[in-house]
Amino acid sequence: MAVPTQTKKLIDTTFGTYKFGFRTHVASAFKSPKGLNEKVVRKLSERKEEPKWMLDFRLRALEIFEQKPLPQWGADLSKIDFENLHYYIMPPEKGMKNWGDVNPEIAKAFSLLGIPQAEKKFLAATSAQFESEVVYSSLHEALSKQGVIFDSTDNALKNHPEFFKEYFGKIIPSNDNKFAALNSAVWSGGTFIYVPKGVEVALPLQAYFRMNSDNMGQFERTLIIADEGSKVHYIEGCTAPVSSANSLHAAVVEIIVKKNARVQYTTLQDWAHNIYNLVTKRAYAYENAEMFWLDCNIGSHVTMKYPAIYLMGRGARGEVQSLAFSGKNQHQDAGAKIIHAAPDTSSIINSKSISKSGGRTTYRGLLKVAKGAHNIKAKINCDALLLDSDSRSDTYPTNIIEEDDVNIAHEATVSKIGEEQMFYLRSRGLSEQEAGSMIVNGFADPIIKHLPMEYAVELNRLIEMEMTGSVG
Amino acid sequence: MHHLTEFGTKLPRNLTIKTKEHRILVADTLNTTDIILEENSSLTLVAVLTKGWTEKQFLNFYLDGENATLNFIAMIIAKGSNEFPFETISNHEIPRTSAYYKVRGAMFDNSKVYYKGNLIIKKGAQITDTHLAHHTLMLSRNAKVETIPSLEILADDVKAGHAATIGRVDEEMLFYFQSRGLDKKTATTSLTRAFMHSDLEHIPDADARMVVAEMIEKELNVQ
Repeated sequence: MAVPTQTKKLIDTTFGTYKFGFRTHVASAFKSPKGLNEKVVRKLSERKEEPKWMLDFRLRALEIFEQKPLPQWGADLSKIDFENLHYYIMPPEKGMKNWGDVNPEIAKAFSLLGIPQAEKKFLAATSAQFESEVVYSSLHEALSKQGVIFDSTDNALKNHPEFFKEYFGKIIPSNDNKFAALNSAVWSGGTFIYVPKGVEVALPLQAYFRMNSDNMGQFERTLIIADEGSKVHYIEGCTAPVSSANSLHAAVVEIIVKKNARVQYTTLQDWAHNIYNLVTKRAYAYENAEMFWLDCNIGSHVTMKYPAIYLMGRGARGEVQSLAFSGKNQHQDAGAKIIHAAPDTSSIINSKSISKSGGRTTYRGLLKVAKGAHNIKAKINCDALLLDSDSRSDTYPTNIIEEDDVNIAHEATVSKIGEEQMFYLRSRGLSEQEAGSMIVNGFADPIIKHLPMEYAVELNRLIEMEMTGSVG
Repeated sequence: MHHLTEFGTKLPRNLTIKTKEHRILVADTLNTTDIILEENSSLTLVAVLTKGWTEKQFLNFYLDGENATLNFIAMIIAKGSNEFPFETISNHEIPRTSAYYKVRGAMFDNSKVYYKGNLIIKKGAQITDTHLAHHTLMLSRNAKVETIPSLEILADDVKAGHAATIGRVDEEMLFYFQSRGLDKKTATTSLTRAFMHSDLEHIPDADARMVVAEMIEKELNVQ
């Protein structure tokens, strides 16, 4: 027995409970019929009153989506029934600037998720997406005076088309992969952020994504542009009701970090266990810029997500810290990609995964040093914790190096809760529960500590409180 | 423990290391092979690789008996436009087996190494002990290395890990040698030799160690 039964039981209760599984009863304003075809895309674009170039962009992407086969690697996607999904669901209203104007049922749902409360306490901006549209979005006045733009991507397309011509679909083109093509065809909602030169946004900006209907697809599209010398931290969270019907979430996130700028993008992914989460995220970091992905994957049935950083300018720095939990019937196939395309660039990837009750975690990563990129430093660390003999952990890191002036180190380990660790903590008077909780927390802590305090506390509490609660 | 040492140029397509057998194989190329290790057996496969090949070669190791131990040691001195594409797969089928991989490459000129090393611990194969290390010394701007050290772990009571490093000759060490009067070329060769020799100690037979050291020396001295 690798792990004592008691410990196993308490870990089961910890990650086996889903707090956000409630459903909101509200009639949608419009729901596209099940299935995906040109008509659905045209209708969606028409409803959004989009410019013709965007409709053309969508239709081209639809063709690409139909042509591309499902990926033959990674998680099992064969059970996704693309014909059985609604590709666009419009909530009763969208784009409100006051919680009071949001449909009361929807506002209640976000209140249960703690969004307005967090907004008051420590956020510089908040947006909330329900189904396919952003229902609420607000930005502190001081920031909008400084020229910061924070809006739904749909609104931004109307109000700031100049950014879209230059950047939209440029970092992640429609033909990048099947799900980027799908998103490009039916994207709706998501966040647009522009931070002007030299503006440092001290508090985080947050977007929250909620899927409420069964058999739906949510395809938000996010574009973040941090101009020279600016700083911004964006946090996204996501949840959905518990259901047996599968839903699909396929987002595309494009980020441009200009000279001397810094962007941190934090994800707390806690989808219900019926969701396929297939997301493409990529950032370009220019001269002396810094891009930081903090990626926590706890929910979903299947996740395939590999946040990428292209280090395009001299002195750019990239970092990915990721944490994955997989329980029963879950497969987290996550990782990171870093491309060193310029000299004097450096990167860090630190991945931690925990598998239990037959869950499977996979780290899949790429580190590439392109020809001409000299004086490169890169460090990759992957640690996996297996809590029982039914679970599985995989590590597939690819390193491609085409330069000699490099310093690259990669390391991976797989471990279990050590009997000695357990014995030591028990001998200090800790109960088995406390000890197990402490070890799991200790394992995840190097990632959790990068979270803003409020979120770190929440994540720690999730582990600790539930464990204490399961005593006896 | 008596070791049977063989020096061959090519690995057989199929090979079984029988119960209580302890073999050392020294090869100068790698080719596709299926190797089964039975109970209480051990195999140390040492490959000194200097001549490249074009097609990817697959080396499958099946650790089928308790206390079977595999040591895979590859030393690549890659020069010219030689390419070294290969994959090792270790299948831990039952409890209590061990496999250790040590791959080292010194990359000159336009050479290329493509290596994937997969460690698969099947369900129920508890108390497996396995580790893979791939270290690369880049001695040319035009060389290329691709390394995919992989793990597929379906049992929890195991020790499994891998490590990979890629870098140049240490500037400070070079400086030290040069300050002692060695020219840069001699200093670089010395440091490359030291790098290549690091895994010699894992060859459990003095004669085999000697032969391997000579093979390395011969290649390092070729101009």
